[in-house]
Parts: sequence; C-alpha cells; structure tokens
Amino acid sequence: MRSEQEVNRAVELYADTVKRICFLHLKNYHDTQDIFQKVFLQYLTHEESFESEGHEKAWFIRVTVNACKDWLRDYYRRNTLSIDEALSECASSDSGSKEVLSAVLALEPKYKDVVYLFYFEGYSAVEIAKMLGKNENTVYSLLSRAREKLKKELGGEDFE
Amino acid sequence: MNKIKNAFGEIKADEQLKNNTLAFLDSKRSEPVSRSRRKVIPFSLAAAAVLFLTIAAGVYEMWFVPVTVVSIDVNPSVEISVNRLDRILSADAYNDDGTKILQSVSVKGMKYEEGINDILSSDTFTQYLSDDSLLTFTVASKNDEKVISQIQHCLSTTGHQGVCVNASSEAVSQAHHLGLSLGKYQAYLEISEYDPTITAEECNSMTMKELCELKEQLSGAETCDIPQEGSNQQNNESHGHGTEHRYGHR
Repeated sequence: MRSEQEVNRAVELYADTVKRICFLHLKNYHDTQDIFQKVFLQYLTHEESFESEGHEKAWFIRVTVNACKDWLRDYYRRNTLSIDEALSECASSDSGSKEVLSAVLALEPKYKDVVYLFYFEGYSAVEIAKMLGKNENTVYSLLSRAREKLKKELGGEDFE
Repeated sequence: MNKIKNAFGEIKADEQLKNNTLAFLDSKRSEPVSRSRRKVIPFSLAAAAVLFLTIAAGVYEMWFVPVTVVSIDVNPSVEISVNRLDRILSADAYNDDGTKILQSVSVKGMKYEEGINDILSSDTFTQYLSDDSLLTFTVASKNDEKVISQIQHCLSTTGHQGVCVNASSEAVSQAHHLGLSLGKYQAYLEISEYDPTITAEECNSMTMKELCELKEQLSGAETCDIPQEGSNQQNNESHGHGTEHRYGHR
C-alpha cells in the first residue's frame, strides 16, 4: 500500500488528467467522483513501481479510460449522457472553448480519447496505440476521421 | 489544435473533488490490510465444499476402507481385505505358495464370496488340498457371523473341508507386523501359550496341519480332526484368541 505522501502527490499531479477523461465520458459530478475513487484506490494498492513520471501518467490514463469504459457498459448510463449536463462541468465562460468541447463531446466515444490524448496531451499515434491497446493504424484512422468531423463542425485549420 | 488544447485546459479537478478522493483513500488506508485484501469465500461455496468433502469421505469410507479381513491358509497363505460393500479391495500372499495362487486367480474387485469360491475352485489351490492338509479361514470382521456363514456356503459348493476361526481386528495389524497371515498368527498365538520359545518365523514355515498337530502335542487335546461326510459340526472352543468353527464336506 502506498504512503499518504505518494497518494497526495499523485492526486496533485494527475487529478486534472483523470478529470478530463471523465469529462469526455461521464455525465455528472457524482459519477466523476466514483471514478476518481476507483482510479486512485487502484493506485493506492498498486505495488509495482513506475519507471518514470511519463510511465506513471500513462498508467493513470489507461486505468481511467478502462474505468470509464466499465462504467459506461451500463446501458442506462451510456444512453443518458447529455452534452449540456457534461458542459456544466466546465467552469469556463469562454464560448469558444465551450463550442470546441461541445464538438468533442458530440463525437462517438471511440474518437474522444484519441482526440484528447493527441491534441491536448501531445502523445503520438504510436504511444496512444500502446496506451489504449489499439492497432497503430486504427489510431491513425480514428484521428483522421475525428479531425474531419471537428473541422466540419468547427471550421478552420486548427485541426491539421 | 490550440483551440482544443485551450478548451481542455479549462477542465480541471476542483479542490472538493481532490479532497473527497483523499478522504476516501484515508478511510481505505485505515482499514486493516487483511480485511481489504482477503477474499471472503461466500458461505454457499464453503457449504458446497463441506458437502463435497463429506460425500467424498463417505465414498472413500465405502470403497477404500477395509472392514473385513479373511485369511485363507493351508500351506499357501492368502489374505483378502473386503470393503463395506463386500468387495475385495486387495489380495495378498504371505508365502511363495500364496503368491502362486494369486498369480493364477484374480479376485480384486469381486464380491468376497465369489472371490473365495474362485480361489477354492482353482487348480493351483486344490493341488495343496489333500487328506493330510488343513484348510483354515480366519476372519476379522464386525460382521463375522455373516462372513463365516458365506465361507461355509463356499466350502459346501466346492466340496472342501475346512475350519473357520474368528479374530479381532487388532490381531490383523499385529500379524502383519510379524509378517504373518492372520491365520498363521492365530496359530502362533495359540502355540506360544504352551511353548513361549516358538517364533513367528518357525510358524510361518509350517503348514496349518503341522501347526495344528504341534498344538495338539503341546496341549494334549485333539483339535485337528475335521468331521467327515457332510456332517456340519461347530465346536465353540475358545483358546482366548478366537472361536473355532469346524465344517466338513467331502
């Protein structure tokens, strides 16, 4: 079991990352809190050490994505996701940001993680493929299709 | 690209979320490790395991635990152990002649009365039976009356004459400890009452007829004659080690 200091450090470092992945998939604060508890509890009892912070962060991303997937296996939860409800989680008053997030949330679930990991976290398609357990070519094609959809929705060259 | 980066940058975990998570982890950490790690076996699974073990123990007891031992001695000494279902669990020879018999007759798994019948009817066994021989059955069983009655039936169907003696189950392990069949051990016990110098090895090298005659010599009582011509006589003659029943068929 990890020490209090280790857990505090991890929460400080990775809470935003976990929150962003939850934001992509979950509908409300309560669900997000459940996933937080699940992910960090897993970290608390995870005995193996990490090679680096990058390795640790990739572990958090993978565990959170899987926890969200498990959560969404429930048919009811999968079908009651409301974009407006999710957007209420975003504190920003910037309408541009809300528009972008709204477009990302409107994507099919399979595109959301790759878009987030590629555009925000800056991982390469190869790293994303490894992290999500997908084929590299699948990640390339998911990115390409997501880019098309976002471009269509939002316009501009920001997605090249 | 910047638009997406900026937009996601707006999403942050608030302090309340972090604090709730830390409080939750604190409560988990204070739970005893053994409780959080231990996989509690559901009661139904435990009950099923107990039931299974009970049935398995019952089946084992029924099939694999010997409850009756019958020692068949002339000079060949063969001993069979029988389970609760009257099936022969094992047949062991206690001398070379006994080994020859078991090489010619396979009785394992048979009902004991069928097995005894097969042994008594086999050519290898009958060649040891002569007017001068003494066929002895020694039975250690809680149900010895039934077993002796079955042996009596076997004797009548095969036309042989023999003696039945019952023995205690403790005698079985003592006999095996000395390397004797139960039958020869009983004879050894009786003779050693009159001649304490006699050894188990000496008794093992003698035929049952020789052992009986030695006992007659030492005790002065005539016990080796077997009734003739179909008479069926029981002598409940106790020597402190077992009761003797004599059955003659010719």
